[in-house]
Order: sequence, then C-alpha cells, then structure tokens
Amino acid sequence: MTQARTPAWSGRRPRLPAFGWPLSIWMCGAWIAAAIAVGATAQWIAPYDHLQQFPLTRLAAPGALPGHVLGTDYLGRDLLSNLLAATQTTLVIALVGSLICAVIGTSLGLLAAHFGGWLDNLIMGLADAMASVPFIVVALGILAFFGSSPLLFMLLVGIANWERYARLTRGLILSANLEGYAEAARIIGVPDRRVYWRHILPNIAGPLIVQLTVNFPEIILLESGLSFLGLGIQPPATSLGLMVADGRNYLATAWWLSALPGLIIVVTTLSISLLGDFLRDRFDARLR
Amino acid sequence: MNPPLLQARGLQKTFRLRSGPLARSVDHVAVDAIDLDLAPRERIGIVGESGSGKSTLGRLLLGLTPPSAGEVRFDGVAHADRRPGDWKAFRRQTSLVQQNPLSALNPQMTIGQQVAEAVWVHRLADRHGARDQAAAMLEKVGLSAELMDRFPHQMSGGQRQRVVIARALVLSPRLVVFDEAVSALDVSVQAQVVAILRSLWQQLDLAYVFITHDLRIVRHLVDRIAVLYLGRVVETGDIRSVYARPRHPYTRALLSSVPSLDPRVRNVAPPVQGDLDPGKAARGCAFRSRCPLAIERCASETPRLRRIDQGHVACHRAEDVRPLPMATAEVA
Repeated sequence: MTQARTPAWSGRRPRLPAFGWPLSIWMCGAWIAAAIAVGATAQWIAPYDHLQQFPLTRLAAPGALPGHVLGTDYLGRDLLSNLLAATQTTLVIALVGSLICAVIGTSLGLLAAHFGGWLDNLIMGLADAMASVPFIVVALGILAFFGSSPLLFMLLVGIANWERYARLTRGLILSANLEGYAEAARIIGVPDRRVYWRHILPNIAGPLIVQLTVNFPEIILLESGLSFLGLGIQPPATSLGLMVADGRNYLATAWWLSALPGLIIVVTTLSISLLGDFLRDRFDARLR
Repeated sequence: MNPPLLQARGLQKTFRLRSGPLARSVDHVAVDAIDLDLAPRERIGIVGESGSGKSTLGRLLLGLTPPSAGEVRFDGVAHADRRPGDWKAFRRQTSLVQQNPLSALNPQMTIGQQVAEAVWVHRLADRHGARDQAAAMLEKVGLSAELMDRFPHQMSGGQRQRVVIARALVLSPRLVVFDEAVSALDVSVQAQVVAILRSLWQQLDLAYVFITHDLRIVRHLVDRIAVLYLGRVVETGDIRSVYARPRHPYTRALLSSVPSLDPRVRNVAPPVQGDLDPGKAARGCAFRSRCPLAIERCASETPRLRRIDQGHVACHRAEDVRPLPMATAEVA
C-alpha cells in the first residue's frame, strides 16, 4: 500500500492566524475586553463618583454639557460614571453566577449519569421541581426572608438555571458513554475520572459552551428583574438592570437613562453569544 | 496441552425486555449455556448471523457485561472474584477491537495521543516513552509515525481501523476480542487488515477471539470455529474440517451462502429461509423452523453438543447432513 508523505486531502490544516478571524468576532472580543477592563477599573476611570449629584444640571442630554459626556440622570448624577459602576456590578454578578451555575449543574448532571439509580432519580427530580416553579418567586421569597446581601444574591442567580446544565450534561454523558471511544478507553484501563475529563468532556463541551452563552444574558436579565422589584442590588449600589428600571419613568423625556444601560446589556450579551459560538467551533477538532 | 488462557463454563446472558410500563417483561436469552476453552496463542472464530448473540458473548468474555449465569475464567481467575485492582491488570492483558473505527476513536484527540494513552495510564512509560511505543506499534500496523498528529476524521476507514488495532495491541495483551473488526471495511482494505492481523499474531504472544458474520474472512484468521445460533453453539471444531464437512444444517447453509465465483455453484435458492425466531427457542432445537431436515424429535428434545469426527455438533440429524459440493467448499 502506498503511504502518501504529504497528502493534500487530509493534512492538518494550519491554524488560521489570529488576524484571519472574522471582523465580527474581533468586534465582539474587543467589546468584551473593554467591558472587562471597565469592570476592573471602574473606580479609577470614572470622571465623577457615580453618586455625586449635580442638582442644577438634571436630565441633561448626552453631549449637551461639556462635563457630562453621556448626560445626567434625574438627580443630576453623571450617567457615564453610573454606567461604568453598573457594568462592573452586573458583570461580576453574571460571571460569578454563570460559573456557579455551570459548575453545579454540570457536576450534578455527571453524578446523575455516572451513578444512575436512585441518585439519578433524586437529581433529576430536583431538576424537574426547579423547572416547575418560576424561579423568580423562589428568589423573592428567599431574599425577602434573609434580606438582600450581594453574596446571597450571587448564589441565588447562580443556582437559577442549574437544572438545564444538569439535564444537558446528563444526556450528553449518557450518549457519550455509549460511544465506542469512551468504552474503548475503559477497556484499555483508563480510569473513569480520566475518561470523563479527557475523553467525554472535550466531546460534549460544545453544547455546554452554548448553554453558558445562553445563560449569561439570562442571569443579567434575572439580576435586572430582581433589582427592578427592589430585592436585588440595593441603592446606592447600582447595576445595569437597576438603571434601566430607574429610567423608565423618564422614557418620554430622557430616553438615554434607560436606553444606554439597555444598549450595554444587548451588546454585551450579543458579543458573548457570538464569541461563544465561534469558540465552540474552534475547540472542536472535527471542524478545524 | 497448555492450560486454558480463557475458560467459559455454562455462560448465559438474559436481557429483560419490556415494551411499555404496563407490559409484561419478556426474557430474551442472548447467550445460552456456552462452554469455551481458549489456549494461549489460540485463534477462535465465532460466527453467526445478526442477533445470534456473538457480540454479547465477546462482552461477557471480557467482563464488560455481567453474565446471568455461569462464569468466565482468565488465567484461572474468575471474573466474579476479581477485585477493582485486579481488573486493571486484567484490562492490561486483554483488549477489544470494536466494529466501527470512527466511533471507537475520540474525535478530539490525535491518534498518537490515543495509542500512547494506553501505555501511560498503566504507568509503563513516561509520556515520551509512551509516544515512542505508540509510534512503534503504529509502524507495525503499517502507519508511519508522521500520521501520529492526525485526528481520526483526517484518516481513511482502513487507517482508522489499523489505529484501533494498534491501540488494542500496544500493551501486548494476551487476548484480543475482535468484534466484527473488518466487516465495516471495503474488500481491498479487509485484505490488508487480515494480512496485518496474521503477521501480528506471528510476532506476538496473542490469542484471538474473532467475532464475525463473514465466513470468508474468518477462514484466513483462525484455527477453530464456533457457530452460534440464537445464543447456542451449534457446531464447533477445527476450521478446516468444519469448512470441508459441515455437520450442522445451519453451518452448511451458512457456508453454501458464501458467494462463489464459480458459475457451476450459483446459489439458486436462499440457503436459510425466514428470520431468527427467538420465541421457539424455549424447547427443542431453535433452528427447526428453518431447518430442511427437521423431524418431530427436533421439537421435543433440545439437541446437545455431541462429538462427531473431530468436532462437536448440536443436531439430532448431523449424520444426515449432506456434504457441500466440492467447489463451494474450496471457495469458502
């Protein structure tokens, strides 16, 4: 038989250099990088303290006043400073919440799939119970009972959607366990832990990453909803959701109070979705 | 004679099937009362049509499925007595080559990583050593070391199957079960793989269990053959004598169904009519509904394996089975 030295048909395609990424991905990446930079440095780059009030220049439109690039709100607070502080809060909550959610959900799904039996029934029963009650009602109850603290709040938004990860992970692992490669690895004596970590997880990462990018915006929205209802982020702290809620009374006269934080939410979540989708394809050896 | 490497006694596997939550469950016997001895370096073929329980038998032999009854011993130790630590040692000495090479390989790992992994999870070498061993093994199955950084989807079907074989053999196991290992390949590639398997057997201290429905392939690979019908061995014996003079009507039918290039030996009628009929397996001969020689005794009395010439046959009318036409026997 002949063994072609450099077969053109199946040679490993060289990885695209970074500048070969599509422009949209560059823009998403740039936006997320900027958001993270803002999240890390909001205190120092904000032109004013976000609580400082300028009663004489209330409700200034963006660009109307030289000192307030994005205008001011109904108490005369600088909108740009507020946006920076709010982005920081929201990002931290969404990031920590997503990670908590992914870790809890994936672990429980893995346990359910690996052990099966009563543990599987218990975990999936819990997941069904979670899915059957509107989570915001549960969260309201807990926050009203224990009082709102940032830590409790992050935990709460973190466990909001764990059942989706659990269900997804369980299903993916059950089907991956039936694939030949998982069994083949076990047959040659690869320990279970390594089978999950090295063989199954990389093969099921795609849907999990997509779930993460779907979940991230949902946590932002949940945070906004709870803050809007007065049980989330408490003033004087601020968040994007709280700003949107705050500005709703002035929609007709000062649209920028709601529109600008809303825009940040939309662009950030969209960037994360697109980037996640792109990364999933990059990580998949089959598509490289 | 050497002590057996692998020994199965009264091996049985029953699957409980249930068509709905309220339906009564039905027991389906996939493997029934199988005895099997395999000496070191012996090669045995297990043949049968789809649903005859041959894959289940392979999994039972490797302890991948617990049997419903009976036991399997490897090197004198029963699977049931093995503790978790012993299993790892057992896994090192045995291996399975699966049917579909594409699903048997992890799409996210290079083939070099996958072959080397076996070596280093058993701590037989460090990462570099494992990679060298993997390269050497890949070389043995005719794949150059340059292919080690390929992903499975970048290879052809025959190359993938050779990777799977290399992974199964890199630990120098003493027993390898091939479950339809070449059936998914096209004929020219089959011939390559068969040649590789033959030469590997000559180089290594290996016993083969070759599970297949392909009677042409198995002839070139094994010393002994066991024909399975609905989970039971209906005929077993030396490959040459079984092929030359099948004693069970089912074996005869299988052999005469092998396509022939000789125009004088065209198969006019299908050799076996109908499908496997597990419902009738409870009493009497399972094959009787499809058997041209069936008599009343076949319905009342289950035939047991009995010795005829060199082999063993489970048929009341074994003496009445006609020999194959000469040409067919040669081709097969």
